[in-house]
Amino acid sequence: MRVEIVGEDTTAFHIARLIKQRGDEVRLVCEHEQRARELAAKLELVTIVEEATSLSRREPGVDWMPDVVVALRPCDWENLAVCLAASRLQHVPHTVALVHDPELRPLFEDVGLDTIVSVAEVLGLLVEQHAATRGIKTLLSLSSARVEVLDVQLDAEAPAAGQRIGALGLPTGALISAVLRDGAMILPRGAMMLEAGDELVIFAYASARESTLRCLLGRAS
Amino acid sequence: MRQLIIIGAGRLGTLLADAAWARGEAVTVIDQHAPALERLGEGFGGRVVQGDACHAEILGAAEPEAARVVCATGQDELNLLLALLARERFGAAWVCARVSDSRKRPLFEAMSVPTLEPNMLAVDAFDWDGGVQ
Repeated sequence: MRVEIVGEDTTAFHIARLIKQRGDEVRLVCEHEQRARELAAKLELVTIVEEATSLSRREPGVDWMPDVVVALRPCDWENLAVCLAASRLQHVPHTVALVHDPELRPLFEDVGLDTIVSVAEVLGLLVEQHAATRGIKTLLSLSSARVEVLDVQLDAEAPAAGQRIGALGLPTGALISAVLRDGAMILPRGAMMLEAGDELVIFAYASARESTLRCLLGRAS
Repeated sequence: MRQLIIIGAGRLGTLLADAAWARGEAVTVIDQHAPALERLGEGFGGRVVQGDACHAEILGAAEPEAARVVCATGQDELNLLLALLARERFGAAWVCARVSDSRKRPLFEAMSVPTLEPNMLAVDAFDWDGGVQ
């Protein structure tokens, strides 16, 4: 696969390296000659010094036509223009546009860009998943069986801290499969006493998620 | 009266805004820099909105629905984005984008965004017989 990356910052460098390592053919488009030379030497690939949004690249009949164009410029309007030019004028089959302001995503979608990546959205979602739900992570969601794998950390207020596993009264449909304590994995038995700070790995039906969390933490989120 | 919205209070934007006001048009100028907006003529009595027009609440404050929108910032690609934003997301009746680099016109044509090209207009207006006896 031929990949054209339009950008010259650290993100562009690492993505170019990653894609090249996987065996794809990468070309980098930079606006600064010195940076282009530096990246070409470090990554051993072809760099082109040209305005990011120039239309003279990829003209019909040129020898190197990319299968994918990835736009990683610092301004949203540059990435929009790069991807629109690639898809509308040069018939590049696939484009990836970085959008900094998530509010602009609907516009990028409306004009028909196929892959739109918002770092703010991705990181925001991760933070929400991990930090906002105090001590509860959904590790895996097996949608075919409606089963979830949960990682639940007991805090000092958790009703389960100081109780034996056998006495918890966990709902049917939930199974504690491992207890992580001080970096070690302990296979749980009924007589095991849980402590604050323990991390429980639990298989549970999605329908039993709430009652399981209430039983362990006294709260469902 | 149908609104005329001008985004970008540069030389072109302010000149156009003053001319529109002088013609009696309902005109709104948007720019993110207050000093730029001060370049409007003394007699200008239209509306000014300070802020980044890429943000929905700023462009929305100018009420672009059914308006005519001229995107006249110094960046061709920004003008394209703003014109598409006004048309696709706000339903502006008519948009146009200032383009400095006329080699980029095909992209604006592909997106059906009319262009205003000061450099090309200057070439078109050039008097080829000037000074020729």
